[in-house]
Amino acid sequence: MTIGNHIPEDDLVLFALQLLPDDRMRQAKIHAESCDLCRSEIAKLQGDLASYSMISDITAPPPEARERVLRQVAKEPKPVLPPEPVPVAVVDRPERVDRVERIDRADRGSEEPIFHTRQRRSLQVEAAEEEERDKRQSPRRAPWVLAWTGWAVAAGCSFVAGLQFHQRQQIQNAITAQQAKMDVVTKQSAHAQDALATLTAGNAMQVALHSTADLKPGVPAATAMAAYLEDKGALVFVATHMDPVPAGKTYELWLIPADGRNPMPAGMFRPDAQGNASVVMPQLPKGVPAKGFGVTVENEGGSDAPTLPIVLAGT
Amino acid sequence: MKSNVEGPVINGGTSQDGQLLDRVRRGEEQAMATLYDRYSKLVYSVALRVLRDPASAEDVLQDVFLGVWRRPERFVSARGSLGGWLAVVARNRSIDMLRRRRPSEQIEEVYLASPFDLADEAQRNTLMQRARAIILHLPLEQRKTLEMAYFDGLTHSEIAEITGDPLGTVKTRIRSALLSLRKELEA
Repeated sequence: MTIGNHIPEDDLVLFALQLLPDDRMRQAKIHAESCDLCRSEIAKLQGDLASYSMISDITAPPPEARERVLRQVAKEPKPVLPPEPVPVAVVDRPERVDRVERIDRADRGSEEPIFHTRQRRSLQVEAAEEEERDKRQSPRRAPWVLAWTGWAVAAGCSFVAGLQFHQRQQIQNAITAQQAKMDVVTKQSAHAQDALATLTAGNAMQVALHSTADLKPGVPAATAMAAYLEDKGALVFVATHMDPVPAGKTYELWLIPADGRNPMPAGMFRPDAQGNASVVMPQLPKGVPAKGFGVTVENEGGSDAPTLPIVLAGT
Repeated sequence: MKSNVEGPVINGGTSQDGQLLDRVRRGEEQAMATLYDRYSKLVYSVALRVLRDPASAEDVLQDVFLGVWRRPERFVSARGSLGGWLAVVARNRSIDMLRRRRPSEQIEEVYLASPFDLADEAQRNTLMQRARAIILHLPLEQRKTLEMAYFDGLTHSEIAEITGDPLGTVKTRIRSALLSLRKELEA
């Protein structure tokens, strides 16, 4: 919906957030394409959102992520741009005339290079002969027509080459995009298969976690289930009826090793509006025997050690 | 969308980004590594804040940077802060993943006017501290509503359903929170 040919202010924000319903998103997009004012306001709002992004706790990605990105970059070399088309030069009489003129100028004592008399005569004869040939051919051929034909052919070749390059680049981009999508889908599929294998494996450790807080009448207690495969370091954790986590805080899942080592962080999560949450295949070392699992509330960004109290626990 | 939006002041760091993007356009992998080292933490942190899952956040990180490698010219035409642009794109990609929907926009459609040079780490840290302080002093309802919209990707209808507030109130809170942030940062 637009008012007075402009997108309403509140909708501009939702447009920048990409949270408008699809139909209104399309309408707003069409309007913004032709409205400098709305487009400028959207850009400002995007700038505000960029500033707002900065409130996120800064966490460094794992070092392997850098290798992964740069490996993929190396796999996708940039297309080499073709050189600028060079116009085909059509040389006609002027060169020949120029040669004769230079000889004449040399005779007149100018600073131009001086030619040997025999050479000068030879060139003059050659020029005269060529001129004579031109005269004979003139009814059938106009030199300037040939010149323009040459330019037209050159322009045509350049256009076709440019078109082919453009098409090739489009195809290459489409292939690259599809490959990237395939990579993501393949990875997601492998991720889902690993999770499924963990849930269904006969040797998986299945642990039920229960709330340690006092039960409130009429409010279902938070519960969770963890499936853990020690040899693969694979873990799937699903929780329900979790309380919303306060701003600036996050839930953190802990693996409690059976060999007495300190609890190991196994992923952070925040429940959705219904209180459901999950941690699927967090990065855990292989071969750590688990005694149980626990959940604590930590500052956003997570912690190296659990902060009491433990809100969910199970062994 | 067209790109003739008034851009920010192009200062030292931003022009460094421009030079790096030129080198990326010529296929220099080292330039890509420099951009990654400069902005990967920001992109990853935003994605992690939205998705709360390191593996998914890493997928978004890769998606965003490969997008820069494949189409660096899309950013140049937008004339904004590359860091800010990457942060917003990372958030949008993360929300798409969270809501299991196809990418809702081409990355080149994000145009951004920001006076901040996120290429400079010191300025980035300063902006981070100031933004956090400003957001912390916003009324709780505004803060929560903006957080739900930006980091949880909830629509105004969903927020209204959760909080019980009228739709108009939700919209106004989001807008007021952003405008307060802009005003305070410009002060």
